[in-house]
Amino acid sequence: MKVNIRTQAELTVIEVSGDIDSRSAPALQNELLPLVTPECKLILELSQVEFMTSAGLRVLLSLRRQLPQNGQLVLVGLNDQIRDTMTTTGFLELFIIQPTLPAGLAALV
Amino acid sequence: MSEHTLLVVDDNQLNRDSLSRILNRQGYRVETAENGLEALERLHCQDFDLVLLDIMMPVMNGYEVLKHLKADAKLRRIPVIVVSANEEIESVVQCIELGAEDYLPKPFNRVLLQARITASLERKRLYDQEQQYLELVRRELATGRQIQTDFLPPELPRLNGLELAACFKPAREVAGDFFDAFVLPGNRVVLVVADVCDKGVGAALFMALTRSLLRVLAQQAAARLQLLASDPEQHFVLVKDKKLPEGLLLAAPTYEILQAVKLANDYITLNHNRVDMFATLFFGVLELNTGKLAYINAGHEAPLHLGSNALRGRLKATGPAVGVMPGANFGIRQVQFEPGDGFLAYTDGVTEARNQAGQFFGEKQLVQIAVESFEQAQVSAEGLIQKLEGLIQSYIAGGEPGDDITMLTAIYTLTQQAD
Repeated sequence: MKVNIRTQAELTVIEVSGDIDSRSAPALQNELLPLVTPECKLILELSQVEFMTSAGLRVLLSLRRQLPQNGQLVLVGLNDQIRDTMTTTGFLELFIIQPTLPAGLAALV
Repeated sequence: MSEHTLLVVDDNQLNRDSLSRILNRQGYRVETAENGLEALERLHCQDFDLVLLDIMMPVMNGYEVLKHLKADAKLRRIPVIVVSANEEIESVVQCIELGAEDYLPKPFNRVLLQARITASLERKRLYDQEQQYLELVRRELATGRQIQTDFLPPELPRLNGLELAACFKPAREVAGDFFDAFVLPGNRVVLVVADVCDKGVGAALFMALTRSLLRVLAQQAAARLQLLASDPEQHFVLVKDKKLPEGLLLAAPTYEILQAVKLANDYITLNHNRVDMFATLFFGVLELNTGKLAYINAGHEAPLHLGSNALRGRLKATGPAVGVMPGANFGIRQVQFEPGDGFLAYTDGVTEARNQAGQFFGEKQLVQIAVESFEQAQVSAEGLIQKLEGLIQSYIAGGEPGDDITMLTAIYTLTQQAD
């Protein structure tokens, strides 16, 4: 798994590639949590993530729970497998989801 | 003062004496041996931290000593420094290939001698430390796995009207799968299959928490109703939600038992939310008298309802995973089991088992095999699970070890009416 973080002003785009499983999830968590600030605008780009286990969902849940009132988080580029898992487990309702990065940018306030 | 004991092996007494003197002065305890055979004897009856080994010796030379040491599980980790004249560089290379740690040219230079010995002992110390740490981790994992196993029913209930079988193959790493089956008043059986997110001892502990909460809350609900109502089976609850506008009429005990899921979720989200853990789970209450299976599926892989000729249906998610949303509501659904119908619940370790090429076993294949196996006449719950387990095991042979593999099967048989 690789994580590429690009920051422009208050916007942060995090591009993840590779599988997110119990081995890679702690590293992802360490990359993501410091990005949570009172007015952060985060876009998590997952189109290059083929497979995500429940360890990945746990990272998303941590991120979601730590997101402050005025923080924003959008997930983009989920493949069918990840979307299905998130639908089944009820995670989809917790997040703002957009198909592509441009759509994700447009969804930010 | 160093606590290290070194063994000097050399057939030349002058060499032995001068080396011993130098090393004594540098603070090491020194023992000596005149040839390889004597060295091996000493190594077998006393602990040494390091060996300084000459190559050319009568009786047994240095090469033979190295071969013996490296073939001995107890001795192979003792560092060996080969002591040799500079012109013997070929022999030194051979010794290094045989597993010697380092070499020291003759005649000895004190500074070099000390440096080589210190470096070898330090490497050994780090290696030992790492081994101790790994051993600790192994013990922790074994404890986690033991916790996990202790929270599974030691044996499934034997019932008139229902055949049960389960398979639980924990992954190499500890994870948090579990299944449960227990009997409650009113000829009811609770069937649970769950998968705690992530792996490790944390997952095993969270599994223990979730399983205990569900069991206690379900048993308490049933017991409470027995106390409150003279005949709780005469009370009913109409369950309604957006997708079930006409409502579902459930016997009060069945409804109350199912509330264990909601209560467990409320408890976990209130008291254990800081760990950000959750469990997907299927929780079903089967009334053996009627064949009705009322269930909550909290974000879990949809179990299969198998009929004699086909897949009768999937028992899909009716709510989020437990531990995710405080105060979440969980929908209740019910299916009718006819005599001969089967049930299969599993965790994603089954569908996400990978073969050597890294491909998933997959849901499609699992459903197909389950239906086919079930169609073959007179398949038993145990037979079905063994067949599935065998197919999965041969599928993953040679592949990467994956997640826990957990399955629970049930076959509803004709209830024998008591006379």
